Amino acid sequence: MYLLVLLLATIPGLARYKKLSKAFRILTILILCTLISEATKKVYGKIYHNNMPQAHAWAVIEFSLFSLTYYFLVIDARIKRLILFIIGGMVVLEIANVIFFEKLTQFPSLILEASHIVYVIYAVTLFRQMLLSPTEQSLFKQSLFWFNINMLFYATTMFLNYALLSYFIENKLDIVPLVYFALVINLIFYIVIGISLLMDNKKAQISAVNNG
Amino acid sequence: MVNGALPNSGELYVVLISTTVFFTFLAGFIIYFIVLYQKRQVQNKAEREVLEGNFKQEFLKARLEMQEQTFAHVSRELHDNINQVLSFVKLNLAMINDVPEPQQTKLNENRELIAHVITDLRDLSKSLSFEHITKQGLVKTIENEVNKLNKSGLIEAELIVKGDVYPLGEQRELVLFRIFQEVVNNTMKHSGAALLNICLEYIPELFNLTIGDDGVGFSANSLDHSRGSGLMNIENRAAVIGAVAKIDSSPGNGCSVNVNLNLLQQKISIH
Repeated sequence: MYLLVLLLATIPGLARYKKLSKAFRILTILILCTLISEATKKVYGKIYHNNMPQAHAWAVIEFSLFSLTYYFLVIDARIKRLILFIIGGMVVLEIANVIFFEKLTQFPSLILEASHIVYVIYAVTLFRQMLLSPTEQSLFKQSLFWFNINMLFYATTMFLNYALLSYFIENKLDIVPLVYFALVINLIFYIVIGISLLMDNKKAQISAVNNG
Repeated sequence: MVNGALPNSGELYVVLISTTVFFTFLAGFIIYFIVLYQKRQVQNKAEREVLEGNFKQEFLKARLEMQEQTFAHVSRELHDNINQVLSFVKLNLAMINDVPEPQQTKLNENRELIAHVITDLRDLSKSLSFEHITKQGLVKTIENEVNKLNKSGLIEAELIVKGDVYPLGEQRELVLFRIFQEVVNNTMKHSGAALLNICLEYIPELFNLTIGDDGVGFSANSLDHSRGSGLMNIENRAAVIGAVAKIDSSPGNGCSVNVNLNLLQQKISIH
């Protein structure tokens, strides 16, 4: 189911690749990589009985690609530079995490939690940019809006999920509902990404920037 | 899975409350953003419209200024150069005496023709000259044009001035006169009218210029490019001085152009 949704989200991105803006091209690559990663993770898990090394690598790659997507979405040169700096910082953090905190065989929760906090900051920054230079196009027809609201929803909800997960584990409660909750959030996330890839148009964004 | 224990009611409340608070806050943020964005969109659109309006106004002003400069240049050339040369030719012709009678008659006819051309050019020079129009005032300048039209025999023009005449300002009077010229030009070219009624109405703080003809009229949809742009010119010129031009016409019912200048409204908007 999860892989099918990922595949469905990748198709519009690949089919409309030339029509997409740079940011959404990166997003298409990211979704494609997610699909490959999720598929290989299962094989890796079956062979080695632990796919956490791949999860560690993927956490950094995913964060870098999402950051690059925002890099092309923001206009402010200072924020662009900051995004590049954050990507570097996250790589350093992952190395430190593997050495000092969560080994390669453990789940990279620290990196994922840090990533989600940064995604929220990215989303709020992009919302601020959208408010400062609104376009004439209806908000609900803007791929940027759907992508950003989706990121905010995903990052905050997953953060809530992690918080509840640690509470459940501490209190020795059944975590199955949270696993399903996370799955549903992930499915919604990739479906909305697929929709935003269907909506995105390079030309519309250029004219919006010019008008703004 | 850590273990299979189900949460008790207290723990369930914690989970439910924290999740509800979280989703309420998130939904609130999204709704707030949407409302704010739409408000900004409206504000931005209004600002852009004002900017576009100002730009259009400035552009029209610049175009009219350029046009006036060209008119002034042509007017000076006609007066200082061509008219002088023609006067010189007329003088030379007058000095030729020792020619037989038939040629003398021809010479006199030519002198009269040149005198006529000189008068026409002088009139044309005056109607083009900014200084002349502002010096004479709108009523006098239009009166001269009406006389010229009547003299030409092409159309019968009638001028009515209602109310106490007061100056409208150089710029406004010049633009109103150019509108008048444009309308007369259109009437002569396209309408086939026999009668032209011009009415200048001076009401305190309100001025009305109405020009009506009994020509073939037209419907707005059937206008060709040049005539359509001529009418657009009238509206644009009127907009430059803050007036409103209204063009009324239908096939077979002539055409009426009304330019309404509300001076009180302009004073209020300036203040």
